[in-house]
Amino acid sequence: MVTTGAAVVDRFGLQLTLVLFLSVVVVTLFTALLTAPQRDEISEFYLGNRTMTPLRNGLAMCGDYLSAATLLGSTGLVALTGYDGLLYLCGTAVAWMMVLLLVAEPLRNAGKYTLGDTLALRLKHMQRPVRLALALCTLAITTLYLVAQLVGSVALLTQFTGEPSATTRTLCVVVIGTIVIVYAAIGGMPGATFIQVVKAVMLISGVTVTAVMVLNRFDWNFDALLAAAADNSGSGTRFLEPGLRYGASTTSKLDFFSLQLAIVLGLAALPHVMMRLLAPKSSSVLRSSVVWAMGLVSLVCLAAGILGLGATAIVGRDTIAQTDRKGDAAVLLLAHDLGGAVLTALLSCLAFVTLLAVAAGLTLAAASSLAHDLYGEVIRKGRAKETEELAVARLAAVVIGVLGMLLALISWGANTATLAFLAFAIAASAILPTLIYTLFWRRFTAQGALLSLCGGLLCSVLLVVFSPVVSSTPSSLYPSADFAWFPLQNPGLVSIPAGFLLGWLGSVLSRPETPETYEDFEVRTLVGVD
Amino acid sequence: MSHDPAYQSLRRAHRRFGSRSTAVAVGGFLLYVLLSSFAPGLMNSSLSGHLTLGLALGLGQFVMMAVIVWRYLVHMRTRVTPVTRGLRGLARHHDEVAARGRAAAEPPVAPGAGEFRPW
Repeated sequence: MVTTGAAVVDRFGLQLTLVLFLSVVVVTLFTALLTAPQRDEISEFYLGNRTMTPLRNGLAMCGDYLSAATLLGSTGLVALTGYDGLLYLCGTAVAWMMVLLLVAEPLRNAGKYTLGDTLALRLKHMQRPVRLALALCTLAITTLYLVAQLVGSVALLTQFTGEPSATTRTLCVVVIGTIVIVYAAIGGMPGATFIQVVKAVMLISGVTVTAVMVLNRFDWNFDALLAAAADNSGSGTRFLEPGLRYGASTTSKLDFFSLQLAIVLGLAALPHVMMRLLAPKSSSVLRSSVVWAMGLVSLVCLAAGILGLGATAIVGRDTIAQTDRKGDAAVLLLAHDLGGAVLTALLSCLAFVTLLAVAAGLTLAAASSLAHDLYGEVIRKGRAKETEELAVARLAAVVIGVLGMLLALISWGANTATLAFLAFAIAASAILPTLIYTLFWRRFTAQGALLSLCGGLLCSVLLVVFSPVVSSTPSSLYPSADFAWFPLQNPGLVSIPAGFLLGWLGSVLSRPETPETYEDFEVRTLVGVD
Repeated sequence: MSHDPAYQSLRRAHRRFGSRSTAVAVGGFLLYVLLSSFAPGLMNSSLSGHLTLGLALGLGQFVMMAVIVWRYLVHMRTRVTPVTRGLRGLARHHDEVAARGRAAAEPPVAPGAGEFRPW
């Protein structure tokens, strides 16, 4: 068993990881350069290759959707808290159902490059303020999630070297951030797609193979795996019952429900996932792609659950908790036990590539929102030339990347899960109500859109500021201060209904749009204009 | 097109299916979370060995998702795609008729113009 302080891997493992990671990065960087938009066309930069097969599209969607948090964070949560962690994984898979059933096809049929284009079709008269508000929300979500990914890379490095020095930390963030900027700014969507596909294939095969090894260790007896996990968890059968993490009081139970609500509704509204939905050329290809992605996401979630249980069963909860308090090391410890240094190196390389790919997708989504919605339509009022908008998009990718790096360096000790959960809550309470109303509610107006976008954003951020995340508990940002009047750590339970309510209120109080606008829009979402 | 009876019935059927299936998938999951939090006694009842009702329901979520995806594909294939294909053809036909009408109304362009364009 390996308990060498904070480090999981030995020197050989570290070198192997580095070599593997560098080769993946070099190959994908070259491909990103080769497949980069040849002509200066914004459609190619925003949407990439529109004639990909459903399987490849599905892999790219799966790659955008599953972050390193699923691989390391969720499995760690399962390893430490059992049942509650499994619920979390289940929520990740259920959230894709929202995309499949409600969002994907109408959005593609009515969309062009960004979500702003869809909203502008529906709310023609006030499209500039709506685009501005939407760009603001997109920027908030992507920056938070990007910082979470970059801080996650430092946390991952900690697994290898122990607590990194300030120089190592800066170097890690700057190197990862620079690679991300190159993918997004030069490669555009074609480059990002390639790394997503590479990452998805690595993730799916890596996780499945390790899960098969775990099951093989227990002779394919699921009950034996559960028994061993319960025995080594330090809490007996309580490990397989709800409430180990979120069961202390009614408040924490509500907190958990609030988190699940934000995950199920928020993951479907993340900007980089929605941008990916616009790429397929026909709606039948999109349908098959989304179904492929559903299957792949479910497979990864099930396998991650087995990995988490296997980590507790084989390595033991104490070792996992000692190595990393949040449990992020669970998969790597398990890999070391099952397949030695080689498997550990493979999985840690996989984790770094996952970080990189999700960060590239986020940077691209933020850059296209800034360039297309903010610069192209709000500042230049639709008169910008394609080359001009493309230059702005590339510049915006650099700016977002640098901003993300700076924020990650300032807040390197921040809890990545908190940042990601806040991003989900904003997506669920600002973008999702606007999207659902736009697609399905005849009476929706621009005032409603503005109110729900700005209100949802403000509501989620303010509730987190006045929650135990920021003050009043020893683990919060300012432990000595106490202005936490909101008891839950996750604002979703209040902010998501608030977002929907504000959108309704704003629409009812304002003058209705002409009915033809919605009728034309609805025909477009249903029938499509291929 | 929005007053076409075929379009109206498509719209209604699609909305009904979308709202019901989403309610079952997302609502079912949220109900499962609430049951786990507030009715632990029920969820901890053992089915066989270490497999409790809660864990079995968790696996059941994945089965339910698979069933809903299958129903969705069947619904799209049998109810939606044929109708949209017909409506799309209709729209194209209307466009062509309108374009021909416009072409007839507009004065003809000078003969030969636009035929031999330099490249």
